[in-house]
Amino acid sequence: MDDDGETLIDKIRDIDDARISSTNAATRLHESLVTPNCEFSARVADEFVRFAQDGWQDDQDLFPLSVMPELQLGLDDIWASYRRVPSRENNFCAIIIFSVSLQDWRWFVAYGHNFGLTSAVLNFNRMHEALCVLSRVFGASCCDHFFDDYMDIIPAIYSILFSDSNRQHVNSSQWCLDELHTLIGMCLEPKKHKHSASVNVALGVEADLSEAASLEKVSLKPTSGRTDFILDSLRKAEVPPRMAATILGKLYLLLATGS
Amino acid sequence: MGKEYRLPPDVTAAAKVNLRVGAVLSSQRSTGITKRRTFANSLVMQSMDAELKDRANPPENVRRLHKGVNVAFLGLLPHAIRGVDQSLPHNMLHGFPIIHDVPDSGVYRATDHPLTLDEFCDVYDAIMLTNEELMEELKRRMRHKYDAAMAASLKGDSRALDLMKEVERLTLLEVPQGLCAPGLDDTEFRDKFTNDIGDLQARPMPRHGVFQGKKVG
Repeated sequence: MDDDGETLIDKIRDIDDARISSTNAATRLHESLVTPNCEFSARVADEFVRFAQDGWQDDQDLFPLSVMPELQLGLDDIWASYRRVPSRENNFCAIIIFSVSLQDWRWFVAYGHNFGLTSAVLNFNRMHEALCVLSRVFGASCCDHFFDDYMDIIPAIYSILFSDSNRQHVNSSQWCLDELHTLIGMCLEPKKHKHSASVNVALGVEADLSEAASLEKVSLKPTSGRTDFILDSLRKAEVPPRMAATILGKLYLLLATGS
Repeated sequence: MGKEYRLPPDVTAAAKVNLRVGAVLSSQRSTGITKRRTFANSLVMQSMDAELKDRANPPENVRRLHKGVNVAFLGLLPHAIRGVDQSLPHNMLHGFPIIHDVPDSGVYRATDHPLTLDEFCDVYDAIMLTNEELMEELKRRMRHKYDAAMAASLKGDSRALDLMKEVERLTLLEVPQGLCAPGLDDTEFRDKFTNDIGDLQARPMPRHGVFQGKKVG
């Protein structure tokens, strides 16, 4: 069960081993990616507090201090994002599996990028990066993305004005990001959309912005599901390598939140 | 990815706009999106998009994936905001380079590759000479993996076999989803990727399943 009482099952992802095939060794990249982490909401809230309290000056214009708005965090995701970004050299996207049903090898060729190619990380993030920039420029969205997970900090009062019961937060920056995706033809996944709220779980960490305006405080804490998983795993007598890697990743996030 | 993340300057600028403009921002967004929607869906943009795709004449895999993407509109947006990623629409039209010397997009932080281009090309050429060898090696490894999984299953531990079945199920699912071509057998694969002088021009990767936490069932 997760924190909302829903039944959870193992999530299995297909990984294509581009190390064994030496495809990654045959790739020369000139860039590296730096992603935001779960602290993103706190960093943006800090900017709001700073400007609201002190005002600011841009060129010749002086902007006085203003009322600090209540902040919310909205989340979105995109379906099969790696696979939907086309590759130029399709012959290097072939994969082999051993078909249990056919008792034979089967070869498949992905149209887009394989999860495992180093170049895929940079290529598929470019679309997300561009859409974030567009949403910031056209819609004043305080958004960024962790691979295919979008995080958007939204001043609550501005979006409620035009809300209705069916389409919550109409005209919010989260709505703007969604609309831009639709216009370009890379729609967001409705199932993974999380309406903006003062408390939301981003990247496995619960971000609480309910006191950002009143106390200038943002709380970040790991979900109980995450801590239970780590504790249960560590209590086991033996931890296989792949599980150890999973635990390490989850512990890293805990360290990032200072919990 | 270990470098420190810095808040993008346009996020800071957006925070200022939110504070300065306030509630009026909602109607400004609405107006802006309505205008862009009208433009994106206009006959001019639709025909430009069709013509771009037609002239690009990309391979089948690219055609399938960019079919629903409004590349013409995507092409105008980075120019409109003077964004750095000017080659994004071109790559959406022709496919993104995934191997060899992948050009710098200018979007991310620049890094130096440990090899010069000449040194790298030597490595690349040496790797490409082993395509045939790799194919046979992967077949051997995948067969071995299956045999081990089957043996474990007969002893009462079916986890590895179940994982292989799940990998197969997920892979087959990608075909009707339009993300992957239908499966090929050995002969079909060789026919598809062998050139006129008999060299295999593909470098396949073995696919594995990994547990990645939990999801709602």
